[in-house]
Amino acid sequence: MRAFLLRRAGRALVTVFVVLIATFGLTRIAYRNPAASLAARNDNQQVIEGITRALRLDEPWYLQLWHYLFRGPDIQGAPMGLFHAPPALGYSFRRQQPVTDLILSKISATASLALGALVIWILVSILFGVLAARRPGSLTDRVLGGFSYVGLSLPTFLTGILLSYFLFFTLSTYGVRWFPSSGYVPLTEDPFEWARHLLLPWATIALAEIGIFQRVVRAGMLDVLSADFIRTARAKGIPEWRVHFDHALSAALNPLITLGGLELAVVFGGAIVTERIFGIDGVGRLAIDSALTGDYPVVIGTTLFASIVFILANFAVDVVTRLRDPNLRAAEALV
Amino acid sequence: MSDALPAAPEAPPRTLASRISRERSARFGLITIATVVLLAGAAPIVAAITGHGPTDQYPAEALSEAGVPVGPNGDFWLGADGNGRDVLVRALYGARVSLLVGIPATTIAAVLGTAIGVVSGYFGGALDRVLSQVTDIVLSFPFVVTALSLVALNLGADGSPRISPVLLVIVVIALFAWTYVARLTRGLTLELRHRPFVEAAITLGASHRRIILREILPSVAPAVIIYWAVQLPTNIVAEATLSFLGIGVQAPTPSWGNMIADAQSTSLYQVQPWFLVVPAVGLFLTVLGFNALSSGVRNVLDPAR
Amino acid sequence: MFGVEDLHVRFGTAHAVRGVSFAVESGRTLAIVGESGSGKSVSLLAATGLLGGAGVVTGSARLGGTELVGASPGALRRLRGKDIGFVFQDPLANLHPLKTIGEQVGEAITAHERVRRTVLRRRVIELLDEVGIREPQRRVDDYPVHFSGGMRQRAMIAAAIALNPRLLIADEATTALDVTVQASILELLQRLQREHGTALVFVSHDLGVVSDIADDVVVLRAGEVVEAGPADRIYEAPEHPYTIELLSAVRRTGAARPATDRPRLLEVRNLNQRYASVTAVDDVSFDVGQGEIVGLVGESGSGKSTIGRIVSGLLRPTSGTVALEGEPYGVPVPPAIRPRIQVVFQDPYASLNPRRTIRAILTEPYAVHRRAADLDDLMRQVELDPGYLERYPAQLSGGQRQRVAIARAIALRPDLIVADEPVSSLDVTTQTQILALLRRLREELDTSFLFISHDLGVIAELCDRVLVLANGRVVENGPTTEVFDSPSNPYTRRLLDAIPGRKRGLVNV
Repeated sequence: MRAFLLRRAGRALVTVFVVLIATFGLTRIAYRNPAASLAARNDNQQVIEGITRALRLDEPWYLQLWHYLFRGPDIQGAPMGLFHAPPALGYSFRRQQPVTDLILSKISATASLALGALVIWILVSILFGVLAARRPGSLTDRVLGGFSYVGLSLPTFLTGILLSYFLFFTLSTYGVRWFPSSGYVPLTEDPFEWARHLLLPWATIALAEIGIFQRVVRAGMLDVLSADFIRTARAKGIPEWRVHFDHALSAALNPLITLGGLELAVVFGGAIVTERIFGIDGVGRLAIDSALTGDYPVVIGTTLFASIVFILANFAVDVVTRLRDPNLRAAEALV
Repeated sequence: MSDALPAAPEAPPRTLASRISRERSARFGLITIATVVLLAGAAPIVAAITGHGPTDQYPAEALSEAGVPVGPNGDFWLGADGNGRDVLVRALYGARVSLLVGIPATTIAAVLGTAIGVVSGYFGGALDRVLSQVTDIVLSFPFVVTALSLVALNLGADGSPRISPVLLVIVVIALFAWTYVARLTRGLTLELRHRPFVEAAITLGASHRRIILREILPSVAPAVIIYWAVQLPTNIVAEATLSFLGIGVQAPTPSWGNMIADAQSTSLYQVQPWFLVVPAVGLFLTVLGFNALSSGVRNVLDPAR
Repeated sequence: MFGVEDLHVRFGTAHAVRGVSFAVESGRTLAIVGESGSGKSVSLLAATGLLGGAGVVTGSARLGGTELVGASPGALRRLRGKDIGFVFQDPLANLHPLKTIGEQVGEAITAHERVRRTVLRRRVIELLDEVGIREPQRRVDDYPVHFSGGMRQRAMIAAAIALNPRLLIADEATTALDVTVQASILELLQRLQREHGTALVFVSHDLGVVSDIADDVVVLRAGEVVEAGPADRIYEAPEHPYTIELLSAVRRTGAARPATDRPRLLEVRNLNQRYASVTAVDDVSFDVGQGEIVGLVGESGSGKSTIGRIVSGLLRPTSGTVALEGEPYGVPVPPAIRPRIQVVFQDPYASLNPRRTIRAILTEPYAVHRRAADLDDLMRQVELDPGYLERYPAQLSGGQRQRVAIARAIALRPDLIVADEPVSSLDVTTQTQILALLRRLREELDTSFLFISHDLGVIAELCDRVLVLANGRVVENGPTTEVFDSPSNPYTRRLLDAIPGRKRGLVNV
C-alpha cells in the first residue's frame, strides 16, 4: 500500500509541476503587455514601469519562472513565492490583492456549489439508476432514461438560463418568490438563505451530472446483476430489494466513485458558466474574469488551483477504491 | 453431437446497419441528425430564398421603435434577433458551425487518442509511464480558462486572430478530448494484451506492428466508434459553451452558443423569446439526437447492457 | 421428498427442458448427469424460481407437499435458503467480492430469521467449523480473496446448510476445484448428508465424479431424460447408447506408446520462476523427445502452466534454460526457432480472434512466415469441413473451435506443440474426439507434444511419459504406465487415489 501511495504521489507532483510551468509559459506568451493590462486603469507610465520592474517582466522567462517559484514580486518588502510558507501564487495588480488571498476568499462559494450539487446528483442518480436497472426496458426505465437524456443534452448554460427564466422570472411575475435570481449567501451567515440561493445553481449542475451518472449506475447495475454471486444471494432467499441495494450496488460502486471524484473536481475547479449566470462569486467567476481582462497572475493561480483540485481528487479516488476492495490489496501482496 | 465433417450450416444474413436502424433510440437519433444535417446543408439556399444573409442586419424592418425584434412573420420566418438579423438563417448557419466544429474535433481526438492509448497499453514500461503522465497533465488543465489563454495566444500583434477562430476551436477541443479516448483505449489494450488470441499471435511469430493492426485495433475499434458518438455531442456543447462565453466562434458569425449569449445578455428575450428559443431548441435537439444515436448503437453492439 | 414431473421450460421458441421427471428421497443422493445444453441446471433453477423470470415453466415440481411450479415468487424465496440449499460451481464468482465470509454465511440465516448479532456470529463460526474450515473464529472476518478454492466452496456449503434444509442442490459444485480438493468436498457433502439426513441432488457433466456418491442417476441429453435408475445398474449395465458413450468417455485406459529412445528435441534445465513472495517454478529440468507426448500434470499452483508459458516463449524465466535441438531460446523467440514451437490454448473461444473469420485466422501463420497455404487440406486434417472457413468463431461449437486452434498450431509443421489444458473446457464426449485427433496427428506428423493438464485420466490416455508437479517442483517423472501403476511419490499416490470413479473401477490406469 505504501509503495502504491508513494508512486501515485510522485506522479501527482510531477503533474502539478509541469502544469505550473506550462501555464506560466502559456500565459506569458499569450498576454501581451501584461504590465499595462495589470495596472489599474488610470495609472500612468511610471506606475506601469514600476509594475514591470516589480514583476521582473523585463527579465528572461526562466528567471521570471524562478522568481515565481521562489521569490515572487516584492510587494511592500515581503518576498513571496510558490515554494514558500505559506505558498503565494503571485499578486494581482488589477485587484490589488495577493492571488492566494483572492482564491481563498472565493473558495467557500465554489465549495458550497460543488459539494451541494454533488450530494444531490449522487443520491438522485443512484436511486434512478437502481430503479431503472430493476426492470430494464420497462416504462420506469424508459422514463428515467429519457429524463437523463434530457439532462445530458442540455448544456449547463442553457439549463441555467431556462431554470432562471421559469423558476425565477415567470414565478416572480405571479408573485411567487421562492427562488432568488442570483447571489450567494455564506452558510455561516444564514443557512436557510444559503440553501435558497443555491437551489437553482445546484439544480443546474445536478441535471447535467445526473444525465451522465444515472446511465453509469444503470449500466453498472445491469452488469453486476448478471453476476453469479447475485444468483447466490437470491438462492439464499434474500429479498429482492436487498439484492439490488446492498449486494449489487456495493459491487457496482467503484466506477461511480472514480467518475464522481473526477466530476466533482471539474465542477470545483470552475463551474464558470453556472457561477456567471447565477452571480455567484466563486473561483470559476474569478478565473474567467481574470482571463478576459488579462490579469494573468490570477489566471495562473486559478489554473493551478483547478489542476491541484483535479489531481487531489484523482489521488483520493484511487486511494478510496483501493481501500474499499480487498481483492486489489491482496493482489498487491503477490506481486 | 459429433462435429466431424458435416457440411457447414447456413448463417442468416444480419448486417450491422439493419440492426442499428431497427433499434428505437438509434432510429430517433438518426432521423434527428439527418434533419439537422439537411437543414445545415440548406442554409445557403434558405438565405438565398429569404434574401437575408446570416450577418445582415435589418433594423428598419425587424425592430420596433422600442427596439423589440419581430416574431415570426412572412418576411422573417422565425423572427429576428436584437440586431435585426434573420433568426432562421442564423440558426441554420449555426447548425453548420456546430457540425463543422464538432465532427472534426471529435474525429481528431479519436484518432490521436487511440494511437497514444494503444501504443501506451501495448508496450507498457517506460513508454507507458511517460504517455500516461502526459495524459494526466493534459487532463488536469481546466478547460475553459486554458481555452481562453489559447485564444489569447492566437491574437496577433494587431489584435486580430492568426488562424480562423473556428479552426482554433476545433484544435482546442481536440487538444482536450483526446485524453479521454487515450484512457479508454489504453485500458482496453492492457486487457486485450493478455488475451489468448493475442498470445497466439505472438507464438505465431507476428511482429508487434502486425499484432497491433490486426488483433488489437479491430477489437478496440467498436469501443472507439461508440465513444466517438458519445463524445460528439459533448464537444458540440463545448463549442457552444465557449461561444456563449465569447471565446469560441466570434460575432458576427453565428453559432448557437453566441446566439444564446446575445439573447440572454439583453432582457428582450423575456418579451420576445423566439431568438433565444430557436438556437436553444436547435442545440438541444442536435445534442439529444447524437446522444440517442450513440445509445442505440451501443445497445446493438453490446446487448448485455 | 423432492420430485419433478413432466417439467418443461421454454425460452421463447427454444425448448430447453422437455418433459423431465426425477425424484429423490431424504438421506439419498440423486445425480443428474448431462453435457452442456442438456438442461440439467436449467430444470433445477426453473423449479426453484432462480431463472429471473426468463423462461416459461410448466409441469410439476414438489418439495415435500408443496408445489413449486406456479408458486408466487415470495413463496419460493421463503423456501430458498431455508428448505433448499444451493451450492454452485465457481466459488470465487459465487461469493460477493466485497463482503466477508462471515457476512455471507450470516445473511443466509438473517434472510429468514431475526438473530442477535452476537448469537449470529457464534452460529456462523460453528458452521464454518462444521464444514472443516480451520480457525473459524479468525477466518470469519476474512474476504473470499483470502481463501483457497476449496475453502471458498466449504464456505458456500456452510451458507447452504445454515438453516438445515431438507434438500441440498449442488450444481457442478466440484468442477472448478483441484482433484484432491474435489475429493474432500465430496466427502464433506456425504458426511453432512449422513448427519442431517438431507436429500442431495448433485448435477454434473462427469459420470466419474458422481460415481462415488450417487444412489440414483438420471442422464439428460438435449432437455430429455435418456436413462434413469439406481447407480449400480447404470454403471454396470447401462442401456442407452448415449449413457454408454458418456461412460466410455470417462473410462480412461492407457493407450500410450511404450517409451522408446527418441532423439532429444526439447531440453529444459534448472528452470526457476520467482515472483515477490511466491516461487512458481522451482528447479525444474526435463526432456522431450522427438515425436513424444510428454504430460505435465499437477493441481493449481503446481507451476505447470508457468512452465508451459516459458517453453512457449511467452514468459521469461527468472533463471534456467530451454533449448530446442541444442539451440537455447528466450523471450522473444528467435525467428529461426519460433515457427517450430507452437501452442494450443485452453479456451478455444478466447484463443481465436472473435472478429476474424476462420479463414483469416488460419491464413495468419502462413502470412507471417510467407509460406503457401492450403487451407482446405489443413481443415481436412483436423476433420473440419472447409465450408467452415467463412464462419466466425462464435458460429462454431467448442469442439470445432478447438480443432481450428489445433489447425493453426500445426500449420507451420512445428516440431513441438505446447498444449495447455486443451480439452478442459470441452464436454466429455468432445474431449474423447479431440484426444483421438491429437493422437492421430502425432502419428501423421511425428510432432512432439508437451501436454499440460490437471486431469489424470486425460494424461493417462494420451501421454507417453508424465511429469507430476507439486508446488513448482517435479515430484515424479517416468513413463505413464509406470507412474500410474506404481507411483514412487506419496503425492502422486494421493492424486491417483483422488481420481473419482476408482471405487467403481472406472479408471483403468
